[in-house]
Amino acid sequence: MALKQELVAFIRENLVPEGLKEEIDERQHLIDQGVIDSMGLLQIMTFIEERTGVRIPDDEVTPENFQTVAAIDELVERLRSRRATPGARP
Amino acid sequence: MAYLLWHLVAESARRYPQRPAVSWRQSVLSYRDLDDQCSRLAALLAASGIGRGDRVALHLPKSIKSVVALLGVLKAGAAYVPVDPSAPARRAAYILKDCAVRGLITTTRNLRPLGEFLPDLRAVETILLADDQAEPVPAGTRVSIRGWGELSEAKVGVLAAETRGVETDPAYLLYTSGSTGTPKGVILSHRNALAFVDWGAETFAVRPDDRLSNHAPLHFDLSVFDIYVALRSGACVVLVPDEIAPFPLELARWIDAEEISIWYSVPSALVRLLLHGRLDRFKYPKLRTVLFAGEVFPVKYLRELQARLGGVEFYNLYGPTETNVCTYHQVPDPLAPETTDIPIGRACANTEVFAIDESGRPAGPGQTGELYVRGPTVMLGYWGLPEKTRDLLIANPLQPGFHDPAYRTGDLVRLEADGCYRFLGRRDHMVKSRGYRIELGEIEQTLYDHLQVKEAVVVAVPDEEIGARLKAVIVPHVGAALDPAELKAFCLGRLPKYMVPEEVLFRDELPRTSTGKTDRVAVARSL
Repeated sequence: MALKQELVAFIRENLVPEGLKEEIDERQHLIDQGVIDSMGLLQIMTFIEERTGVRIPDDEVTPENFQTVAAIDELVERLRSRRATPGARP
Repeated sequence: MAYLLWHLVAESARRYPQRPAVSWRQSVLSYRDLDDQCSRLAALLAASGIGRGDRVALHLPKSIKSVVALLGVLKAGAAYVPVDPSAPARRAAYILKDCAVRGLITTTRNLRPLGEFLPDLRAVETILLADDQAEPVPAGTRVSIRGWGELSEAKVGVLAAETRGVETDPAYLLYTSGSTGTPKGVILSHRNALAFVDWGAETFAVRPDDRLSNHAPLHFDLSVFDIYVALRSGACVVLVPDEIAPFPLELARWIDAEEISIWYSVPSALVRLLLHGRLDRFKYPKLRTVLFAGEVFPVKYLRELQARLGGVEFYNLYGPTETNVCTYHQVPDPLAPETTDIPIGRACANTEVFAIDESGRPAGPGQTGELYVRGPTVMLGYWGLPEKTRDLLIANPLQPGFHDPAYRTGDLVRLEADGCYRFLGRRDHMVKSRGYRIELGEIEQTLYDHLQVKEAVVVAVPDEEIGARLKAVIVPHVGAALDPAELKAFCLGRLPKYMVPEEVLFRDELPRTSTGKTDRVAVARSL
């Protein structure tokens, strides 16, 4: 399963009460919807690290990078490719 | 004479009409405008029949309107009940029903998930939508839905309630986790809050040019300090926007850019700022005082934070919701190398604390005892729970001659030779995570509500950054097909996020003590 779908599933399962789960999709604004509070953010970061091995550096923990599942997915892709590029700093 | 909380605004509006009272994102409300808006809201509520003896729930995200809302409710003579808008609707509905709120101030979005519970909330007559999207209500419904836009037409002159309130009237109810499976409402009076606010404003010498952060949500009692100490002092309370609070980098920038002079939060928020906020990028020129409360601050992080924010005074504030802050301690700078924990300190002015040992006698210096609190900051009681109230708000054991209530905190403390109290632990199964009180029994009761759960124990694993991580150990009924995801979802629909176990484990049976009780220590050890 692609990371995007896994993230949607993880958020629905762990961070959203019954009745609002269907609202969550790739484009739903996670901060406005209260999904990303400080606790939700930490759980999502832990999930990404466990699932992909990508540790998100402090500089990238910004509202822009976490506002939607699509944005989180882009961030992880960017960090992965940075890691894969020879000579790039980890 | 300021003896009701909203008097603080009226008084500051008279003295500092143009000064900023509340700031949030790009909006600032002056004292004159804040006073005007809360009068209008009070008038609107009064016109809806809401006044003394009533309760109004605030179920909306933090914004300037939520500050106007709580003051407007108070000015109408009623008490407000802040309800966590991110908690499950079922829990919010429980609270609204438990204390029979007559009014509900919310937003269209927050109201939606409450919809299915509304028919059961018989007491609710008025709903005020803070996002101004009031829709026409079908004829025949008992609920009147009002829009925020109506404030501009409210007739302030009709307000009479303001002359009738007394300081011992309930001002607000804060719901905290309850060991019997449902949250309990702590009732605080105007007097309870004002005695604490007076102490805070004087102790920290808060002045009109101070800018106080408000990081805690409104349903958390840390907010009481931020809002009312600022309003009493003619200072500005600056609300941390929800989109900034979770992001340490943004939050550090915000503290600098907003020129915050007094910061107050749980230690876990400060630890996150220290570890992930790159605090060295900014100078925080106005920051002078950092207050923390709600949980133990790990000393190694506190040392680092002191070094990073040179010249800032740090204070540990202590007190359960039931008593407001009752002791405090200024952290020495630098901390002595041998310091391993920060004392909760000495009693605040106008508050008395003492420790009682297991035999009911005063615990002397060096002995362990349960901390008792008496004085004007101690709550009126728990809503609708007279037995619980009698159990914890008891006759002062040191003074049997007349009516003199003291609150038993359940916290075990020791009075040190230097006159400071040190927190040692709890008498019961209450734990703290991110500063929130969590009764493990409440989570266990929720799990027992699941038909396939035979036994449930919830264990708090200590965690340096957030206080505790929750793990549930479940014995399912024979033949039950249960998986962790289902139980987590079940909890997520009934409990606030911070009470949902991070991990759910299954066992065939639980270890027992010799008396047949579940052996919690053995369960914890087995994880």
